[in-house]
Amino acid sequence: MDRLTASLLTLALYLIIGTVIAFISRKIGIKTTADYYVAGYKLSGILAAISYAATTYSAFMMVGLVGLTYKSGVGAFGFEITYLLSTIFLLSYVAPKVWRLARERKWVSPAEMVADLYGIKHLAILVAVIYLIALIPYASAQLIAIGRTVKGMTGSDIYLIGILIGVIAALIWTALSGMWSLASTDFYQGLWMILAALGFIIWLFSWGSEGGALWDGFERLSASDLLGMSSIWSIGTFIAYTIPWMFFAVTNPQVVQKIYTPRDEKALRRLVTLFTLFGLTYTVIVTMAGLMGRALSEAGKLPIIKIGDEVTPTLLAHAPLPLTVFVFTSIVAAAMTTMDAIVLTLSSAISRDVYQRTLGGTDRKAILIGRISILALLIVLSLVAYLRIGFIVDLSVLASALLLPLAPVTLIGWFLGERAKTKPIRYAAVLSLVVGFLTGLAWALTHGARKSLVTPIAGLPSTLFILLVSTLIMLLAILLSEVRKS
Amino acid sequence: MRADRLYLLWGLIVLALSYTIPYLVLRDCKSLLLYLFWLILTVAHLIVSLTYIGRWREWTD
Repeated sequence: MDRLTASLLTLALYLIIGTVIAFISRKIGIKTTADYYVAGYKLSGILAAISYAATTYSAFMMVGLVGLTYKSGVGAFGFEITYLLSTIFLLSYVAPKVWRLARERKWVSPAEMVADLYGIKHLAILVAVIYLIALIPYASAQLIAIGRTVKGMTGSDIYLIGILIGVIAALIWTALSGMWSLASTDFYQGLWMILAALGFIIWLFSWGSEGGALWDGFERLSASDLLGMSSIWSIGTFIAYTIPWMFFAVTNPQVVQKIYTPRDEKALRRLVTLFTLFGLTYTVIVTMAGLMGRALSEAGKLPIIKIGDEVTPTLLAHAPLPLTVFVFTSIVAAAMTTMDAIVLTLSSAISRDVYQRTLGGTDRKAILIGRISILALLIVLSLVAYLRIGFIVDLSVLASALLLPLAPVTLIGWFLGERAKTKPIRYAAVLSLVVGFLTGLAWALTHGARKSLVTPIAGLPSTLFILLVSTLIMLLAILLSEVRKS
Repeated sequence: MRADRLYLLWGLIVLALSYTIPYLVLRDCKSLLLYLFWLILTVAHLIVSLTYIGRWREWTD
């Protein structure tokens, strides 16, 4: 069987199974927006956990992070593991509180959560706009990854067909029954991702060990700076890159929304446990693949690969065809799960926070608006992906940085409870969001999206500066509120 | 309450170690020690966190 046929058959199989799963999940009745967007707060722990993991880990892992580790060494593992360390901490510490509050206050979208925490109805619209600006580029980048992966795995010039496959599958798997079809297909895709990653690393280890090339390569690596903090990972760069990801679990609505969904305490505990196990396994596999690839280049078994994103395809070119198409499809799955979740969460922001909040429509109409907005969002994403609008695509790397002001605002809101609704603190929440977000956006417009991340502001890593400014505004307001009280 | 505070302290120490040890101690590492450091730190954090979440109580009140 040739590569094109094997690729198309595997993709077809992947799409058919996903669509069947989405249709089966349709049997579950959808009556309210809570049913549609947070599965009526009734997801099982295992579905919620794998859905959380599959949403978090995008195509960046198997393509970008393998390449980043190949080029910059162990520091890339530190970058990714710092995210995991922080997320385990945040989920363990705050998830029960958020889960309980979501039920008590009937939160469906994370934007309405922020508005409710501070008692400002229209704050939800501001937060929804921030989500749209920050996340549309990030979701577009996933669609671009799907197009490129389909093109790469088939070896044919079918980028546009790849985009269309992504859009149609996302539409069916997301719009059909919201979080139910999303979580069910995420579960299936999450399993595909982790099994493909395991197959990939086992093959790479076995192939690389032939003739002792891998061990020889690791010997040679020790002469370079790649096993320590290489020159690429200056402390400023490491902080600038890790800060937005440390707060990902708090700032990114597509994962915050998942915390609302487990059906009981046991399911929530299972979400945290299984997600961390998935995350650790996937991170170790992906970064080890990058290091092994580099060791094999050092040993002369592979050429030196200059472009990071080419590392995985170069390695897979030596793998058996079934494994190659299996892994390539897992990259499509990783991009798909991230894009689906973003589209659903943005749709909840449009239907709940913009439509229902301003026009007060019924739940039935809000679900219809939600489905229409999923279609509209996917059209926008496909246009950006097809035209590859430079600045918008570049902004995708800044998504978490632009959402960073939400970290202090959300965390302080969760912990202050009713005190967050006092005047100075309410105003500070709006000011903190606006100042932090505009600082990030202005920096990106001035220096270019990619460069702005590593260009310091006032001598500090830009993301740390944004976080500090937003946090200081909130802390000053808390201080002022205390002074007024006393 | 005490467990919450201890876990908060633990979490902050883990994050601080994740930033400081690689730059202060293992910056010029020539073996997989830095990789192992982060891996062991994560496994330790995972074990402590799973123990902590096994004792979640407040939220069922």
